[in-house]
Amino acid sequence: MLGLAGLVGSRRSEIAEALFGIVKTHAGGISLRSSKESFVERRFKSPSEAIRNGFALLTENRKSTGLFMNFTAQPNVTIAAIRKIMKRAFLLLRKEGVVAKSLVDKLAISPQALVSTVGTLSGGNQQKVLIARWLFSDADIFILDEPTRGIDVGAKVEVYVTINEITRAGKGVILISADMDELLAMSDRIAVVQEKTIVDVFDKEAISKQELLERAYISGHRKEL
Amino acid sequence: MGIKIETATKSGIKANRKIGTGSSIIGPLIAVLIITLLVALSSDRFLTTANLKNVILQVSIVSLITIGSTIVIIAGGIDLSSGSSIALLTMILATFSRGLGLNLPASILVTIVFGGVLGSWNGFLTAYCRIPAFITTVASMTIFRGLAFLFNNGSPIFNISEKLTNLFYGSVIGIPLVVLYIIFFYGIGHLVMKYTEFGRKIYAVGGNPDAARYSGINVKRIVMMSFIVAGIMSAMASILMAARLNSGSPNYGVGLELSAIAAAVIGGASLDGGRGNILSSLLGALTITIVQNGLNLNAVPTSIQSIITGFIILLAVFIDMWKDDLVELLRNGMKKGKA
Repeated sequence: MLGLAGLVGSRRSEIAEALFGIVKTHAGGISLRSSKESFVERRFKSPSEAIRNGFALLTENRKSTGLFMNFTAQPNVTIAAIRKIMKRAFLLLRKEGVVAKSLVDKLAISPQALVSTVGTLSGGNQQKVLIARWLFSDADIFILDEPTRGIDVGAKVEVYVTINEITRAGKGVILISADMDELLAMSDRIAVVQEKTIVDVFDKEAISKQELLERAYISGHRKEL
Repeated sequence: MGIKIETATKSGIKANRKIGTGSSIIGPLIAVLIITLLVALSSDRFLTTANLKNVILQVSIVSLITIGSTIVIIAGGIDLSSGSSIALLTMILATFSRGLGLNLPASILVTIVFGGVLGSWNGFLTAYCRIPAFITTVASMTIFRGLAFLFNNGSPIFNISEKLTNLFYGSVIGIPLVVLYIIFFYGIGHLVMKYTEFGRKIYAVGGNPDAARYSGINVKRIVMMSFIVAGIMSAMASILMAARLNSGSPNYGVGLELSAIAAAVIGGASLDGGRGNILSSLLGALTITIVQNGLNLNAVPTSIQSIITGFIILLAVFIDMWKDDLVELLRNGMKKGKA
């Protein structure tokens, strides 16, 4: 797991958006392992292309770029992989209900999510609905942008547990956070971001919280001067 | 509120199929029943066979446009050009069939294709040129009307084809053909919106376009397609319009777009996008048509009819905007009543 550390304003989210094909990139691409030895250089032109290639992006702002507030959990969970609940040209609403129910159970989301709109749920439940969406999409690489911001402590712990399950299943996670404790606890490697550019990469063991903060702060501060 | 269907799964757990994208059919049903009752009370000519037949013929045209308007509204847009599209398309049908001597089925096909072209124009400007749907379609409203007047020096074209009138007035085993059209198009519309990927994406794009994009939906394409569907449905309505008086006219369809939008809104479609129900829109179309029929039966002058139609649209949108608060109010009132 890779952590991206950066202060608010370091435009770290733009790296995620560039990876996901939302903002256009001028340079750089993604190396995807196509077999054991060979890598392919890719640059996604749209989120749908990124999703097809196994990427998932949990955005920083779940209200504006994540959830469909007026819908219940079912369509919110299945939307990124809708083909999985289709038979020929048709949606299998019953199957969708079963799928959503099992994810709601698995992530301990309030069962209320299945009958009322997600707009009425707590922040933690909303965030878990979004995590359910990307689990359902069978992504291999999860880009999680501030996944624990604005949710209560209990939900935070559940989110951490889920992230650990994802990595244990052999999938990649890129965690973006301004919370250095969170990054140090969760990541294997940490990259420091300033002005949407990675300036440093450390192994977790090689850096302390104090050093990490200094790196993020000084580089950000220097920019301002 | 969507229609709630619960199904038992293998493990015995209830899986809920409610998705929250639809709107309740109860409101529009009550609306149409109340209006029918009022109109029937106001005129004893309402419940005559001749008049009811007339209502069915009238509703067929409005209801076909309403399908397109509903889909565009659910996708977060609005289509104000459908009335003018219909005028233009009746002129195209008449010109191809009578002026150029093309046979009727081919002329109808050409009309449908042109309907798709008009829809693409609206869709292209809205989705790819980022002009708000309201502005795009207001502009199209006057452009299409103007284009309609370019045909035949702006005069109507009469006597298109005897076969054409049969498409409107005909019946099969006692069932008027227009009823079959309504059943056919509403059946397909309902199926598409509820049970296909395209329908689901329409709801998603209208519900939250940014979230739709981040979920891998090609938002522009979906908006474009919603307008193409609307254009094709306008073409279908224009064929019936032309068949009614066996003619094409640049003056047809004035104000029809507002009736169709009002029908969709009465049917519970939200102008914010993401919410609506095709079948409820049919009830909305019925409501609007019966109101207009009632006004005609009571010999209300056109000026007053126009004013009343305007107020109905305001009322429908008002209810749409305040719906949640009204429900809340009713619920609290009921709780107080119990306590």
